[in-house]
Amino acid sequence: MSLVINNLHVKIKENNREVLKGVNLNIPDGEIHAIMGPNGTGKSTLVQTLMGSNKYQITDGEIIFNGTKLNNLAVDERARLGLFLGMQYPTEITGVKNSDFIKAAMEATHPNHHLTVLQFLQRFEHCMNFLDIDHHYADRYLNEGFSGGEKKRNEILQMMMLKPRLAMLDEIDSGLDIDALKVVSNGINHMRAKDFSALIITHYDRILHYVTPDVVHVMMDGRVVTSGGPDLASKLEKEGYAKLRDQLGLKIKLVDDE
Amino acid sequence: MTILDQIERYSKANHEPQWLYEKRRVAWQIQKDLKQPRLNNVRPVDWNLNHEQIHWHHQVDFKNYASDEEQKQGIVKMDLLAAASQYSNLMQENLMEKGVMWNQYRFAAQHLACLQSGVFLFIPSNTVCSKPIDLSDILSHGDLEKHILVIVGANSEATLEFKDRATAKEHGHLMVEILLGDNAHVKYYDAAKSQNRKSHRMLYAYLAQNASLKTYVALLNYHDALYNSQINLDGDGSEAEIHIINLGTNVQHQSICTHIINRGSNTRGLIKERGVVDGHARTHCYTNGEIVKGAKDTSSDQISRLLTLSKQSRGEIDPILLIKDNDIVASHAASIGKLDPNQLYYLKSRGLDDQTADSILIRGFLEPLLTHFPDRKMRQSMVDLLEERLDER
Ligand SMILES: Nc1ncnc2c1ncn2[C@@H]1O[C@H](COP(=O)(O)OP(=O)(O)OP(=O)(O)O)[C@@H](O)[C@H]1O
Ligand SMILES: [Mg+2]
Repeated sequence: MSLVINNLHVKIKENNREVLKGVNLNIPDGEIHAIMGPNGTGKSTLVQTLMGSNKYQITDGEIIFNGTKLNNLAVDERARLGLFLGMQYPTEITGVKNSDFIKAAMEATHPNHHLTVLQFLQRFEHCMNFLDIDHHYADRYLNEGFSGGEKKRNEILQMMMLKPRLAMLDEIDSGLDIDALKVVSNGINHMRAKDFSALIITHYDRILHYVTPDVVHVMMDGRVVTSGGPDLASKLEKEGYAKLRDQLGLKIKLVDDE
Repeated sequence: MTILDQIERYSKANHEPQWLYEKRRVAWQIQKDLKQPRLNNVRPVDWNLNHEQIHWHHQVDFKNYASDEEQKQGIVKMDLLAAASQYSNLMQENLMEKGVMWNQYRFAAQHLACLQSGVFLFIPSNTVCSKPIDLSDILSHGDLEKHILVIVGANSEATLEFKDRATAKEHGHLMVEILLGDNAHVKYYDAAKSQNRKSHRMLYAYLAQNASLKTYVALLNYHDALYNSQINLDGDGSEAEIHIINLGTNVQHQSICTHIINRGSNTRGLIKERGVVDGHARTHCYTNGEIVKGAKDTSSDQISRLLTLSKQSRGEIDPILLIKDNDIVASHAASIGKLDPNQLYYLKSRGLDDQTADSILIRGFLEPLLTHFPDRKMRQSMVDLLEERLDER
């Protein structure tokens, strides 16, 4: 069981620009992978496309998740297959209570596993405690007025409640203070299991000290250009992307190039 | 038999007092020369109802349906036509004389002329009602012309509720008059879920000094509907709030007219409404805040929002502030929007299918208003009715 991405080409519908230019990636069950890469290289585009966002269009290639081809599946169908996207910018929804929403999402993703209200609340409280989230966030409107870090914590809360098969976490570490980073990392480690895999997008190797990835991928200009072990992240942190690019002999312009 | 003959026979059979019979007769005679109210610009749900085939069946019932405890407090809740005999003077002075004038518009004259049944609620002065009073349990919901008259004496407090039961498939008209004495405070919960092919619902209120009326209304009717709520802040220091949530589906056409008139000084009016329009439905909101000359230190605020779900659904908001005095604060805000695609995406990315995601966002849109309906039980019962209607879409 795994996620397999073959030669994925994706363009942005709004301006027809090709952003992913042949991504190949394989995440076996039970593994945690990280993706690093310069700004604007298509990391968010990749996970949004995996989730099925209608802002992006697949022009070539395929995505196969646990044997099912995802290319033409609707967003909610993918979620019910076990995909979860912790978004870089979680949406605020006024009028929808956090706990009501999470309960509805659990019922949708686990239709055969009915929880009583009490069971739900117990589990909800347990996860909130685990993530050090104040209980009044249960009754607040979904993400409304949450600080950057609170939104990220709330994404992890949803992940822990929904127990997806594959969690894609887009810059889950940005905006987190030092303690929160540990808490969130604990949340991810807590999920580690044979039938769970994760894809963590990050700019810093800090989170990877807490959550040790099995594989680190580097994306540049719409492709995965190299992959390696956890040490690849520390190397990048020290040396930067330009050096790696030159070592790989790639002709790619980075945003910060002169 | 002509309608006049039918009215006469009905009135006599029920031993109505002479004044009521005379008023009915005159009302029917003048109705055809009276005008219907006019709303600017857009075409509203029309105000005409079909009176040709009224089913006159009502037997007056003199029982006081107030609970024992309420009866000890002097509260009377009874059949309106029985009250017309039993409390003849009080009824003659008040029935369609203060909240709404029986001879002002055609619909009003027709309503009085053809009045079939109703409820009379009297709460004496200095009475605090501990439990909500249901105005809908002794009403003949299937009738065409129904009337509820509520009179609340000075310094009294009550919560009233109304909930549609088996309404007829044909036309239906419910007119509610609420007359509040000095410093009387009333909350009124109204859950409209009428099956009438055309349903008219009207509320007219008259407030004396320092009185307050807050209405919490869920308009969840199935077919064309006209809602008209007019509150007259006559007494200095009186206050009115109208809160309405509304749902329109299929080919429903709805007009929601709200009107608060500040006549007294130090009066305060607030209209808050949120509606959802789906399918081929059309909803028009006419919100009208009127401040009469001489009404000093008054305020009039309106916030109306509509959410259109489908391409074919139409929403319109027509806010009016008619202000004749300077010493006032007034505001209105209106917006018509669609479901936010980013929000839908977020919900679906958590596994919710289209319909569930829609429903959650609809609930979420109405929630900030609903959550301020103070009584938890009544609020929940409205949410349940809303949920039912949403599932039936
Ligand atoms: N919806 C969109 N509309 C227009 N342009 C887009 C859209 N989504 C992505 N892009 C563009 O595509 C490119 C890749 O964006 P993406 O968000 O995938 O980058 P990223 O690798 O996640 O960057 P960062 O590290 O800054 O988050 C960028 O140039 C971005 O401006
Ligand atoms: Mg990004």
